[in-house]
Amino acid sequence: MTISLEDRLSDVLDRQARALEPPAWHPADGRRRPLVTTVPAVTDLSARRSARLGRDRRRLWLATAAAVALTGGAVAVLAPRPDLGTGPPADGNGPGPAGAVAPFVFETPQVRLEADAITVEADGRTFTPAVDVDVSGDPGVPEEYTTLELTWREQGVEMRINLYFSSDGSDWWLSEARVYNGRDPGDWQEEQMGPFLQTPLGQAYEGDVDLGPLHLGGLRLEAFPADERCLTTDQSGTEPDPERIPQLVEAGTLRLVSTASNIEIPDGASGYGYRVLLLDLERCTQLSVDGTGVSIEATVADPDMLASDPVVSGGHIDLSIDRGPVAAGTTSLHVVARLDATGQEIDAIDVPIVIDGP
Amino acid sequence: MRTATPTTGSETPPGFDEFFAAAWPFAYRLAVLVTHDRAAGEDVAQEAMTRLYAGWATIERPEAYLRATIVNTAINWRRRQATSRDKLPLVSRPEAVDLAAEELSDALAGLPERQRAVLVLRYWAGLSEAEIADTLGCRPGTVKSLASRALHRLSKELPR
Repeated sequence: MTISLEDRLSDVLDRQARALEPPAWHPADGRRRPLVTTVPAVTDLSARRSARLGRDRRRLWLATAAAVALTGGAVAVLAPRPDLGTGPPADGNGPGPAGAVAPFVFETPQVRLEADAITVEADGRTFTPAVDVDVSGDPGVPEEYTTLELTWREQGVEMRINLYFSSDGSDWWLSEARVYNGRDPGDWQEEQMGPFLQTPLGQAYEGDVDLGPLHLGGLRLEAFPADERCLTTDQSGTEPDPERIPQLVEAGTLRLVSTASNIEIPDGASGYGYRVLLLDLERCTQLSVDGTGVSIEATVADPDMLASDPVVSGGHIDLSIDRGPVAAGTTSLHVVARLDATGQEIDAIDVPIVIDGP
Repeated sequence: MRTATPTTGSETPPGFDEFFAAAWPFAYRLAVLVTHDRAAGEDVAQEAMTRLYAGWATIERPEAYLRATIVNTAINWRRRQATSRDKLPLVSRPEAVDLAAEELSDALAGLPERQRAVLVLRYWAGLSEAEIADTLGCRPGTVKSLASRALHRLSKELPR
């Protein structure tokens, strides 16, 4: 008798679990872990942007991209674009140059795919993702793994294209491609295993590609784009370039990034260590804010709720809250980066503060 | 750098102890199975349960919260670690050493974290695709894809 892999898996996992004796422990005892710690890297970017700052289109896209990356949610359908004429698309989402808008554009924060033609050969028929295409993807791990997943209905069946991407921190490549078989209910055809299209990070692959039943004509494909990498990797240790800062401020490429989506302060906490980064999106580097003509200020929006004068040193913000009352509820920390010479505001963010107790 | 200090001397909130008694073995085992490391799994489970304890009064779905916190904390923990994996013990069967089970256990240890998490949630915790998607913060279609790829990889790595 043959035992299925799924049954073997259930058996092994069950036997592993039963061999594990839970340690005697309770969260109220003295060995519990600290509730709040300094966040070491940029892992969460949902802190609200300051509404009063001017935002160019690219920055808005970045904010959306970060939010979607956090939730694993889907991105709006962008393809096919009905306007095949010249000029950039009206919605401003297309990365293509003016005068060369591809008919197929699918985009998530982690992957951008443009193509002149996309077809899938399945069950003796040809399919193309032309109408009501659902675009999603697994955000995965920055510079390691992500996916682009297209689903649509055509000729009475569900059709899917799944593309899986990998990276080693230097190059990215298509590690696997799968398409549905054109039947009802649908199932995957045999996967096309890569690596395919190996390309340096920060660059797009361009050309015509045939991957078994999947044909991509006039393809322009990029995974792990620079914008996303800037926002999801720890950029510490990179050298600042103080002379360029005024130019970067003018160009709008500097962005203040929170290392946490919110600050959670439990009852009885005496302080909170917190960090923000000032990133140069043009070069994907972190700028130091000490000795480079840039300073950061932080203030608590509602001092009645949380009495604290945050101490800021570089990008580190120390919220000392052992003075004055702490009320339960929410407020926010307003963080501003300024040019010392002129006082010009470079960027600002509002980070929610959630206070638990007393 | 100053960090927050834990609360001391507060009483356990109503209803928590009953939930904890029932959920702690599951939480610990889930964390170990996903991290494939007993020490890390214990840390992850304690971290998740401590967060649940702190927010008990406001968390509406404690089971789902606990599950999601464990799995996502475990995945993030593993991403920061070296590639070595713990060798998890197996409850032995009467028919002596089960080599096939050992091989499957080793293959499981080598899977990417999200793929292993999906298999643990589906084949050990018995969750539906929708529940796993809720736990991982992705779509059911992504869960299906992760599971399919994980099973495919296991089937290729195991001897026929």
